[in-house]
Amino acid sequence: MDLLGKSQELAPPRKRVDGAIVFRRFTKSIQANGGDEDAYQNSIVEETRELFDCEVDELYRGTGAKRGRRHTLPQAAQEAYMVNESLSANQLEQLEGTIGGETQQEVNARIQSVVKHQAKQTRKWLPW
Amino acid sequence: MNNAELWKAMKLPELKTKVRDTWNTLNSWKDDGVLQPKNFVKEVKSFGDRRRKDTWIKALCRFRAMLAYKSCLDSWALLTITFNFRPERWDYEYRHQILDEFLMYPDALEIIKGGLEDLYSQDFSNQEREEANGFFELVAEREGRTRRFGNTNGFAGEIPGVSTAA
Repeated sequence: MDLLGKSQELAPPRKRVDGAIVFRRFTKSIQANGGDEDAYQNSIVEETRELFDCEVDELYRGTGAKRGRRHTLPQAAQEAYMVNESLSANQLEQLEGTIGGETQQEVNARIQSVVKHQAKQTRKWLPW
Repeated sequence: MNNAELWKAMKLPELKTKVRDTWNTLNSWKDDGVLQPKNFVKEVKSFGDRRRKDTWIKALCRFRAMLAYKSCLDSWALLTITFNFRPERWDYEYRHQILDEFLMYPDALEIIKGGLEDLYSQDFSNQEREEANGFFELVAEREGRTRRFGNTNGFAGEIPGVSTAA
């Protein structure tokens, strides 16, 4: 990606990036690789476990956040998800067209493995 | 071709496999991740006679709802991905029972309401909202029915935000 001199080619117009935008890119990269709703669900649970050592509902309960509303999580948790989902999406976008499998489960498992591996790496850079 | 023609009723062996797969996934999410076959049998038995198909359907829907609840990080994605039931999905046949089971969670309606609020905020485009069409159609199907909504006293039209947001 060329950040300089090619801004006129970028569309749609730029806007402030937040966790929801990154998350949407992440879910699209799962779908673009052939992952279904199970791949998405497993990826969420796997990344949460790797990043925070707990399940999604435990994270919400433990931090006093409102269930299903990511923006109510502590800033550090939102940032961790954002970083991990951005990096996972980078990887999955590069893999587009290469992830195969005999069954949907196999395709899902490969996608989940990419997300889990990335989350393990991301975790190393987190302060907890 | 209408939706009913796109899918065929799942046969018992396939249904059993789906129940087992879903149960395996749920258990793999636990800390120890150990799968105990005897626990699976015990849990399915708690839904009734294992020779009956409806026992397996009940187990499947309960487990799928649990999967949806446990993986719900963003409530809007529950509507655009998890509950975006389309005829080509293998669980389409059981979409109503899965939603019924999900609604057994005390904060289920609150989660759905939050998802709708997000989807109808200015952060989402019409195209992105359309990704929840499978969910909206499911709700619309229920509006014409007299069946009860899980263990709640309301009907689909009473999901907060649904009738006003659309």
